[in-house]
Amino acid sequence: MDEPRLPKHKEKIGYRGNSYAVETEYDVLLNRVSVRLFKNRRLVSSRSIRIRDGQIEKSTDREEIEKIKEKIAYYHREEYALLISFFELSQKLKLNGDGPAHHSLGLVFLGRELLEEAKEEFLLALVKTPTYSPVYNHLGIVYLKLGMIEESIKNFQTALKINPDFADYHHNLGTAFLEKKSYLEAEKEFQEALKLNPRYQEVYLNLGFSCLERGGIEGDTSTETILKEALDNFKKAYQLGFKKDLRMEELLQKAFTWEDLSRIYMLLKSLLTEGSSLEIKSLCDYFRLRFKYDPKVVEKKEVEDYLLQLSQEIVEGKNYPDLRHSLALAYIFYSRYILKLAEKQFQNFIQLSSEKKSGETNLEMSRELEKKIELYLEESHQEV
Amino acid sequence: MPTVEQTKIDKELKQEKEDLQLLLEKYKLSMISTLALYFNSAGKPEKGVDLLISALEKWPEEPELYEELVFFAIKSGKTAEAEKKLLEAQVLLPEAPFVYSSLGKLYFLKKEFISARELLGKSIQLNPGDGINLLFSTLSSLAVQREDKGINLSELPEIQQIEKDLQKLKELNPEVVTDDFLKGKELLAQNNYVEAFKYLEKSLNSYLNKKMDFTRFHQLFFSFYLEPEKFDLEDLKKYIQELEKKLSLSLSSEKELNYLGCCYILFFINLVKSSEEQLKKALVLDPEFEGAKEALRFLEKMKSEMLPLIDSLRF
Repeated sequence: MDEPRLPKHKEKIGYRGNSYAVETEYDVLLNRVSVRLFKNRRLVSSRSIRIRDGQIEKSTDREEIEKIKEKIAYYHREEYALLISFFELSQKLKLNGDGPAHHSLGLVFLGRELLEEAKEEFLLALVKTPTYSPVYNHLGIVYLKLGMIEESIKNFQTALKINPDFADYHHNLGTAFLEKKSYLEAEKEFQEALKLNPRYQEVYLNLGFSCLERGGIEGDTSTETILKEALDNFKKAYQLGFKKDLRMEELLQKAFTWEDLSRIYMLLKSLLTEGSSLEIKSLCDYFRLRFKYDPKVVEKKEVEDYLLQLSQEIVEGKNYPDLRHSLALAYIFYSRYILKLAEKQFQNFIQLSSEKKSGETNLEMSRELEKKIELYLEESHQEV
Repeated sequence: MPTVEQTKIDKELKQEKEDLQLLLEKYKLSMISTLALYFNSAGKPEKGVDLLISALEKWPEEPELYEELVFFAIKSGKTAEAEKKLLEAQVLLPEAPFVYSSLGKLYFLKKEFISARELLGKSIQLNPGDGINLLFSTLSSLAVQREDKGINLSELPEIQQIEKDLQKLKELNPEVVTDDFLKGKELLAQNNYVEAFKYLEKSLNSYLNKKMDFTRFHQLFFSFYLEPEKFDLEDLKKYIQELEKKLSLSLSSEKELNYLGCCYILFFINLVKSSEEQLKKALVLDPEFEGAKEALRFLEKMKSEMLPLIDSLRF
């Protein structure tokens, strides 16, 4: 039998002197669809989507293959449209965006690893709201990813000056120190983060890593104590949220050498990255912005897809309060389309029926409901 | 002294009255008709009559309640109670066409055609735009005249009026136009009044039966309001899809257009509920989440303003 041929899609867009490209194809090894984003020919981010359980290449059903091809094309179109929409939003916000809106768009870019674009939005946000601590925190993350450690530390410290009670800020500052190889300062910040949030899994992991690095350098008599400290932290990180894994438990039981612990760290880190919610959170930020700045342009189908994706992520384990909050807003935004459909039917009914009064009462009622929803959305947008 | 049996009956009646009052307090106007239909489909039309009589105490100016009262009264045989209520309403609302129309319909269904014709005529005078009244009135006139065997019906000016009325009815209520209706009209043109009456009555009965039908649509609303734990959102979505499909093929009846609109409203309510659920879950995960607290506060306020609006929904 001929092997099914699954197409590769590629599309480019130029924006402010840069060239961006979206590439989408089926990854045989991962049995997933890979959507990659390039900037000036360099890969900046990628995401992979599972579209069915069995191996597509082994499928014999032509109709099914066609459906999968359609899906691949759909994901490609969706990603490309998103990218264009990010740039359009950026233009729009330059005219009438407030600080939190620039911040949200910065997060959208950060979610796609478009770091320069994110930085620009965060800097614009600071011009408009100079005391909004999350912007400094995220700007710190951008600098850290760009390798500008000192700038990164400065921004995390500013965020902490404005709001010292955020575990995230301490954790991020600790990570920057870790990158600088200032292990003791890093561990001090991690401990601060744990005081504020004793169940902060990633902090335990990084704390363990810091011990591990320190142990690797010192290599003296204290190494054993340091490695034990690293192991304890890895155990805590494992207990705080990873699915039970017998192999991992065995590794944690038997770990003794620096190499064993490095292996454990790598495994736990990859599990944590796999469960990262950065991408979906960035999608939520994007839709919140569009609900506010583009409400008339957002299509029903787009919101349906967003609702589906968000619900799925929550069901599959990303049970975070902010994602649920975004889902709540999306439901309300989606309800506008349903009210419009109701209105249309009541109008049709009035045109054709002799019982006009019922239709008119219903139409009036649905218009009133729409007003209430618009008011609600307006109030919700204040938060963006 | 009342007998033991009498005391038992009185106690049961008192209990039933209290139950009805509870229903009326709990459910809004839009649900009363559905409840009555539900009782009818469950083989208890008399309960529907009691409910509608009690509902009319609360909403004396609701035309639909009067009309439904008539149909349930005929079905259950409790016509005396309905007549009493309608006569009281006639005193209370002397200019309301729907009271005359309902009373006229009741008399027609009780085969008191002269009174029916008089009251329906009065109602048509006050509101000429009600096609169903025209059909009742036509049938009443035909019934009166066919009994008066000494008169040549075809020469009476009233027959010409009947033909005009039926034509008007066709325009006002196309849903009544069935094969029976057309046949009746044809027979009328041939001066076969006895057969014409039969066919036109058949078309009226099929209209009334449809009106009394506890449809899937009613079932959905019934379960949404009365048995929310049994409400099946997937069932609603399926029903919406079916109605949408019918609409796209231009197969929907006008009533179904309204049903589809109402179903969208039901879906809308579910979306608002889902939103509320998500905010509550977010707050369980993080009770200090200010954004979610604020959003929930707005949403609850909005919901409290929305519910009375939704209760005004008309099927």
